[in-house]
Amino acid sequence: MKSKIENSLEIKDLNINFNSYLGVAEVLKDLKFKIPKHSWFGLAGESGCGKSVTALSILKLLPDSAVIKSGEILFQGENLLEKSETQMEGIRGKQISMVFQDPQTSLNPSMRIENQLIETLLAHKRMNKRDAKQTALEMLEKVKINSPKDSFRQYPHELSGGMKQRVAIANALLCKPNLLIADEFTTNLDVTIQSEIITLVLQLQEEFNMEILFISHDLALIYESCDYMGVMYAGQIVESGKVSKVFKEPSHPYTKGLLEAIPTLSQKTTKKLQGISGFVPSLVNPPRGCRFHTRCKLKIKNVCDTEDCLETVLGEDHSVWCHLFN
Amino acid sequence: MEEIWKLRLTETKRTVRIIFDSPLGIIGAAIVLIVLLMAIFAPELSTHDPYELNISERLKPPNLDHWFGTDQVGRDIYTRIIYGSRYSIAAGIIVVGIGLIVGSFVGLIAGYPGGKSGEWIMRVTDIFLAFPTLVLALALVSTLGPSFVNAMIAISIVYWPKYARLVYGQALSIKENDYVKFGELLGEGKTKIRIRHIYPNTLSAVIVQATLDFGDAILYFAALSFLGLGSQPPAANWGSMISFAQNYMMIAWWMAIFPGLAIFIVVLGFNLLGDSLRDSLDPQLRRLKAFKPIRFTWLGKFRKLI
Repeated sequence: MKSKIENSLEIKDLNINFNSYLGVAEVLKDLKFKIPKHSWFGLAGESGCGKSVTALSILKLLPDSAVIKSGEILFQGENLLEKSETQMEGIRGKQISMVFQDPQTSLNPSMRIENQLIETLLAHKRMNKRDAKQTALEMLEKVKINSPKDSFRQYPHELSGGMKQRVAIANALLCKPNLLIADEFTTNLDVTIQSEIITLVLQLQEEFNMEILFISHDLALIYESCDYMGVMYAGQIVESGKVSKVFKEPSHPYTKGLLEAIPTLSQKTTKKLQGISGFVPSLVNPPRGCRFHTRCKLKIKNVCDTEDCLETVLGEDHSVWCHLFN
Repeated sequence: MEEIWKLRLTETKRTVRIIFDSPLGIIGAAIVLIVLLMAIFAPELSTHDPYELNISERLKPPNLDHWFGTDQVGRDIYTRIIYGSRYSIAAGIIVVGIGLIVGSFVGLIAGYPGGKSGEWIMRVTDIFLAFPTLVLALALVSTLGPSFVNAMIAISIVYWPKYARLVYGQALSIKENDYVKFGELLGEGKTKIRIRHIYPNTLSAVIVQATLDFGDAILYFAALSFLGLGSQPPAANWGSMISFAQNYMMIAWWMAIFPGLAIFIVVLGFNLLGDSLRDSLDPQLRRLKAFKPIRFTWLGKFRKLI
């Protein structure tokens, strides 16, 4: 591995279109972010803003209707978009792995936990079944499953949601990936289990020395766990940087709106909940200029609705894409 | 905590339990079991030779020697019904077996990874489904020529699209699950994903359909035999027995009634079993039923045994 590379993953000006019945949807537009080594990167945004598409494009598992128009996805200095399918097979699962959103569907209900884990191992490593079984058992112990030997023989439906998610994490980590993509992997769990899982993944990150791309719409969770973050809106990154900086000085009107929309426990019940008015625009005919201008209170006429936003560097590790800062 | 885990039943036990929880399920399972035993032990259970002619004993009403009476050439109807169960069970196994294998194969190919080629395959199966089952089977046997084998071929050809459609529909929804995506992520091939991830999860629906169709297949075979297109005389089979009984309806009611009852009971048995299987394999119904209190005390005792 080249030692000069600072970033594990760097996405440069990625444009992805989807062909749909309604027309061509520009799902990702000039997407740009980087994940420094040994860090968590949180990707926040509303449903349908392209978070999951970003994850799938890194793995090159996009549906057939998707067209990658331009851009680069640099993983450890190499462009994944130029890799052939056979080269990608060596990377997927082994170097980049993924934990999915719903623990109920991330394990095959008709296979024992044991067989699923062993199959994952055998897909990439040459080892005999006994060794694979041993490795899988050790991994189950690492994700802190009570009585791993019993769970080994069980089917997924016999485990609780939290336990299933632990198994899914174990499954993703079996081949010791360098980058773990966690697509809203705590969304379907209740709050106490969420914190347990996050702590667990934090520990595992130290042990395996990997980077995590954490996709979530829960800003509080991102604040708790991530080092860097990006805020997405309608297929674009609107603000990115160190978590501490983004939370301290939110610059983009959308980020501000999101942070104001979090209700607090001390909030009086008579006070109305804050929100961002309007709707997410359709991606088939997205608004010209800044995509957020239709909902922005601070928009500048004839600028925001005509010209594309450019990156403004606010300081080290903090950038914003907004005309207000030009 | 420990106690809760102990209360959990294994999957098979739970399935069996739910079947035996409803009285109809028990009746269905019992009928199916009895017919299977009848087919296997036909020589031991019968009282006469099914093909032996005995003109002096012709058209005798039910009596102690001939329990269900005799037919127009003096053959024992009880014996012929016992032997006829072999044809019926064979018809069910062959038709459902071929339909299941061919249909699942086509459905899996079309359902995963789906797309345009899958659509095309399904449109072709739709052409088969557009014809009424019995009419298409009739047309096929009359071109192939009447015999047991040809009847099986005809009914199977009519049957497989049903399974193709079922498996295709299941595959379409199963392939959206994350474990299929994880399989793709691991670089597993299409065939492996079809066999390991998709097919096992379609099985519960397929098994229910197969059990229900078993009865249907027996019925269609009986219908073809009744029309003289199934197995040929003197073969003992329920459909052709009824067919010959038509001419003697007024003087020998037993010739038609008993084979008719046999068909009715067996088809009913398979449908009852299929229904209760569906109850036990449907996750939503299962959750309701698995923890329901025991209704019948004798059933409760019986359930404790399993």
